[in-house]
Amino acid sequence: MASKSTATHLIRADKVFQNLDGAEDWGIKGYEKRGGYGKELKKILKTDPKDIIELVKASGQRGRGGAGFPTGLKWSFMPRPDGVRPNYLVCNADEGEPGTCKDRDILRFDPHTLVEGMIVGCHALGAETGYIYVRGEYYDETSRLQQAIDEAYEAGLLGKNIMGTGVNVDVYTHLGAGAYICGEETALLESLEGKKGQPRLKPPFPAQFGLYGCPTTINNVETIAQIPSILKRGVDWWTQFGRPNNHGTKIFCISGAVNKPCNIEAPMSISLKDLIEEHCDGVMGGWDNLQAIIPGGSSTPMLNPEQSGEVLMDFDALRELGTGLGTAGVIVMNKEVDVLDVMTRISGFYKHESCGQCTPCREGVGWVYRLMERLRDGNGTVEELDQLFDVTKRIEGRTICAFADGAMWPVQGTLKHFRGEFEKRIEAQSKKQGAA
Amino acid sequence: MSDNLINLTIDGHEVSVPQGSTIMKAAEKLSIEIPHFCYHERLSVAGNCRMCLVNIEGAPKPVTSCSWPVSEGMKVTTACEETKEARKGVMEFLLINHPLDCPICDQAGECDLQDVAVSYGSDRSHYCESKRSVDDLEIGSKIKTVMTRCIHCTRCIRFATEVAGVEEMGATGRGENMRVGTYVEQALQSELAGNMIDLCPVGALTSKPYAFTARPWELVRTPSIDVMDAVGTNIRVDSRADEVMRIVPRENAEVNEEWMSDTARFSYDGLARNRLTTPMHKVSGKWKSITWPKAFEVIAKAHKGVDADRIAGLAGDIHSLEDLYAFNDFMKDVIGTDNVDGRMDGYALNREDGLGASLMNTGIAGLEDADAFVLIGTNPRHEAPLVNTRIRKQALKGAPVLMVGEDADLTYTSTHAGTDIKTLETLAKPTTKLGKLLKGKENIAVIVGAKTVLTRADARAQIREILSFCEKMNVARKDWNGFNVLHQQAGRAGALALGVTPEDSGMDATAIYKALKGGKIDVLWQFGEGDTSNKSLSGAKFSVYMGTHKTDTAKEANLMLPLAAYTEKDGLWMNTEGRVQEAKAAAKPPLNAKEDWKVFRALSDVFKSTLPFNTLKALRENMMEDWPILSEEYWGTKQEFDIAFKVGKATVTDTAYTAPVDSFYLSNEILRASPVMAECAAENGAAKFKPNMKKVS
Amino acid sequence: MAKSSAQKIEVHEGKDLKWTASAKKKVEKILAKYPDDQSRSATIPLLWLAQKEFGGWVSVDAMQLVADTLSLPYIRVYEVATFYTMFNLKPVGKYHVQVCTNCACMIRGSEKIVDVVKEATGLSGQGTISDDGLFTLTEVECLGACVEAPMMQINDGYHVKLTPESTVEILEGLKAGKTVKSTTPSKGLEIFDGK
Repeated sequence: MASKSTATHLIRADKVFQNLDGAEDWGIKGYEKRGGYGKELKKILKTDPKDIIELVKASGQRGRGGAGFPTGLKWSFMPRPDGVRPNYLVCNADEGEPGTCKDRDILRFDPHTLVEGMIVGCHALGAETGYIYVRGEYYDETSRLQQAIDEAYEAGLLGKNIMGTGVNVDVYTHLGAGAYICGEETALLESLEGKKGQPRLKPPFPAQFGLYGCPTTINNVETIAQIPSILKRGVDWWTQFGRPNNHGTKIFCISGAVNKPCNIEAPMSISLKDLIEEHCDGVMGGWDNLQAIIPGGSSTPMLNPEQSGEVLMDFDALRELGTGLGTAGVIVMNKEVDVLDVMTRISGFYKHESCGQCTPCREGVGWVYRLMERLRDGNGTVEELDQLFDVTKRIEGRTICAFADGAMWPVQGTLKHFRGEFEKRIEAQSKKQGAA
Repeated sequence: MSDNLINLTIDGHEVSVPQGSTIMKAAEKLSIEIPHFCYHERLSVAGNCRMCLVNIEGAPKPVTSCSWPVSEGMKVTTACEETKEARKGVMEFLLINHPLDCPICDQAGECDLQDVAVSYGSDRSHYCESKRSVDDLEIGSKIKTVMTRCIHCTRCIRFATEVAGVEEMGATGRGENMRVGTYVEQALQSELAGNMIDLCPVGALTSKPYAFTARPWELVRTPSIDVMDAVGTNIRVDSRADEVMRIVPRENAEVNEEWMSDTARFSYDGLARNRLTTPMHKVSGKWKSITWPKAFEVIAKAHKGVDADRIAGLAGDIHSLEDLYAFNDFMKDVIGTDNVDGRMDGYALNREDGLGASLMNTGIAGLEDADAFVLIGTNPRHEAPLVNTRIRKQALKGAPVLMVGEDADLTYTSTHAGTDIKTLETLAKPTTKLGKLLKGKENIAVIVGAKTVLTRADARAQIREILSFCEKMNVARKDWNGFNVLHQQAGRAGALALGVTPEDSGMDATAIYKALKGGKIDVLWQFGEGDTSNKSLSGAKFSVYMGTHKTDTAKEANLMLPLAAYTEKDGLWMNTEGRVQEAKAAAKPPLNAKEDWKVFRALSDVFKSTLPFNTLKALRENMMEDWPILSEEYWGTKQEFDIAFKVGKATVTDTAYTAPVDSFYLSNEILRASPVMAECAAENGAAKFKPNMKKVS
Repeated sequence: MAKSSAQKIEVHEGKDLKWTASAKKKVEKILAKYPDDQSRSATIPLLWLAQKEFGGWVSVDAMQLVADTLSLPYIRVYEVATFYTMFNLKPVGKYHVQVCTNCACMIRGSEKIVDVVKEATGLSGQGTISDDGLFTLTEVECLGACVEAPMMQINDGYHVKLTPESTVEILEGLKAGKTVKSTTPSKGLEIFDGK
């Protein structure tokens, strides 16, 4: 076994989630053996919150939930508790982006990383209460997480005066009930308040007016769970991985047409080709059999094989190609896959998940789906391809939240890379009809 | 809010607005119109229609002007290609699933969607998939629904939740399957539901009684004042060829904001039913139509040789100031009797007690300055729904509302403090649990139900106790007079202001009822229908009924004279806060019915003692000379009135207050003649689910 | 397609539902998670509890019980119950089989899995209950187990890396009354019983 991490592989000691494969004990004992909690946590809890936030800022960690917003900066927006309104830390475990399943494995195989992250996060943000909002389908996973929380309470790691440091933190799980949109942070807050998950108008932003109208920070599971490791191992350890502005380790979820789909924690800025070849035993049928790759969950526009062969998996590199790292849910499509069918299915997903609040999204996403459905089967005209693009442009950027943008980008990506395929089918269909 | 002004430019024009204003507000100041559907000034901001998108220099994408706060130096463009494109896009999305059935839609001609489509709509759509169709809702006799037309702006939901306080509207499902509707299909429970018709920017919610009866461009619009309660709601009566086709609210921030109650909105069918249209004389138990001159002969004959002391006159509940003035002068100067009363329910105070003792001193809008409420023997939700909405605003902000009397669901959290006058003693003690709620409150509004509290036998003692409570709570200050009387009847404040009460030793209503029973009245003039609290009006040798409807009490009379209803005459009305407002005639009285004052003027000739006015203008001039507080300069404003109540020694009883309203939908003769109101009353009784309001603690 | 596919609520049965004594304790535990004046937060958890307690679905009666428990207007609970797809608004079979057919599973053959489920349960489509009362099939959106595709969820548990054969095996096992282990088996009640 290598003794030092490389650009493609992390040694065990450099992993944050050492039990991501579930091979070891997920419980508190196992976690402590892997370096969790302990004196170092006590030290962190004795550190001034301001200094913690500075360290997180210095690490440059960017949110792992999709948008890649710098965590330290987000935390610095939070006012200190004023004694009137409490501060809240809310963990977004509403993992729903198709192609993404990293948080699930954290919840079920390494839940204490998250619990420890919540303790540290609450301390840093001046919050005494944290909620973990888990998607409703992760029922068993939430049970596992709840058991971990119970263990932490028993060990005196949650509750009043944690480890004698005077820090008080209560953490609760809250189960969603099936709505992708609740992954949007303000929709999540609405849902947590017992309402429909409809995103709020901003401003005000959650740091000023969040849960129950109190200052609130919302972070992804992976983001929060990485914080204790960053603080314990140091900023230098963290920044050795990945390119500047994209530092750290990251869980990649590689699904679809690869020989060994998996969740793997790897250094940021690993090349996409290495990720697939080294960790997933390659594309089914070989690299040459590759047709397209969605790099960061269903909302991110796809890459063609050429781009896929060159791109590095980090925020900036993917952005340069007009797509994004998103949740790092890599969906691989080889030549046996009907890409138009898959993209139509994704379009249908967005139609199903639109909250219905804003006009363009409510009315437009269904329109786009129906057009996709028709054009996939060649029932339409070439002009309608332009029209489809126009419609996506009229939806994008015109709504309260970014859901509609995420719903339109994959369609735009499909039109960019597979317009020819659409045209071929349209031609074939009109020939068929002509013959009939 | 701070007074700091923020400077910004919109389309190159500079404007300064207070900090916290939205771009929409700033644009309004510059008269720049920004199209919108979901935004409404009196509702919370939803920002969901996306029609009001504007560009801000430097912003990555367009923002909704209805929600975006202004900031110093901001450069906004509303008319650039980009925003036009955005609006066109939204417009197309709104129309793809809209049925475009304008020819059969009642909203056509006054539809926001139609209007905005003129500017931003395309003459063709790119959409060629199937359109969505949505099932209609059956939600009672007030509102007709065509839900396929709904554009999901959620105004109706926000109104029901925020203003009416009856949370029965909601949006279920999600995405393109989102549906605006109710919990279960049943008649809406709110007495303000009709306002959703006005709020709906499209034809999804339209007036059921008005359905397919008229087009907006055929209607003549007349400003008027509602008389179904004593709020003085500003209304617009829309008529066509002398028929009232519908009634809608006019905006008046100090009175009704822009709302109206459902009784005011939907009762107009009562104006066309069961009307008295010609004088009628009862001969040997049978009613016979006669002419006006003939009726006058009958009256003259009945008065021959009758001692004026044995003549009495009662004025009912719905009369304009002019009518009451003419009636009062006719009875007192022409007939010569002092047995005159405009308080048929036995209301105990009169002009001598000071109008401040009988009116809402804080004013209706002034209730929004109160930080606590003590409701004594009143249910404002049913006595004056638009007073209730004001109280509700404060209650939602945390003002305690204490109810003394019958408990009721007022649509906000209230505390049932007790049932009788003794409760006030507890409230005045800051150490008691109830007293604590009022501790430290500076502007307590005490609202006394006129009908329940001030018609009791011990009414004068009641008012003494209540005024002393106000004194104790320090709410009878110069800068805050929190003593309020809430009337139910549109004409009552006017009758008190004009002194339509006995002046010397004449009999008041209670005495008249007694005298009637004892056979001591020879001629009774009953001017309009009033609430007699189940006292009989029979017993006179001859009685004249003057009014609009053939009511049961009218039929007890010997002669019926047809008068004009409130929509059929110009008139001044004084509301429960003493505000004088002018209504204009929207239609002509039916057949032979006449305006009230003209009848008294004509009768005065019969009695050879001509009243000194030949026109309404002359009448008003006389009236204003007699009563300067009614002068034109004060019209529309809320005046201050003194309380001149003399503390008497009458003993107060602690019997519980009774419920102030039997049936909200059937509380006067117009409402009782209205089939729509009858349906509403029936539906309200039959409702299976109450919407489960906030718990009454 | 023109007709709306909006969820139409099942007819109100007028049943006066009540929490059992043990459910009441859970209600209290749920409410303890939220600030005293924010009990509305418990709407979704209580709907969950109601679905578990009253036969796997949420009737209007159940919504009303939740609304009454939290002193909320009925419409507010009704809105929530119809917004979230995991609340079954009509009865489902003993085993609610939810097959993910989103992209990652689709690429790895979820269509075939749906066919196999239909064949094994005798169901012709979605949303209905099989004749034996055991199964209801629903095609669902991404369940977040993409690297183990194709997969399905039966009641609370995930079953992953499915093949047509393993799918049949699971369903036949359930028919035979056997316990079929999911990936992360739990009692499922820790959520309500936790501290």
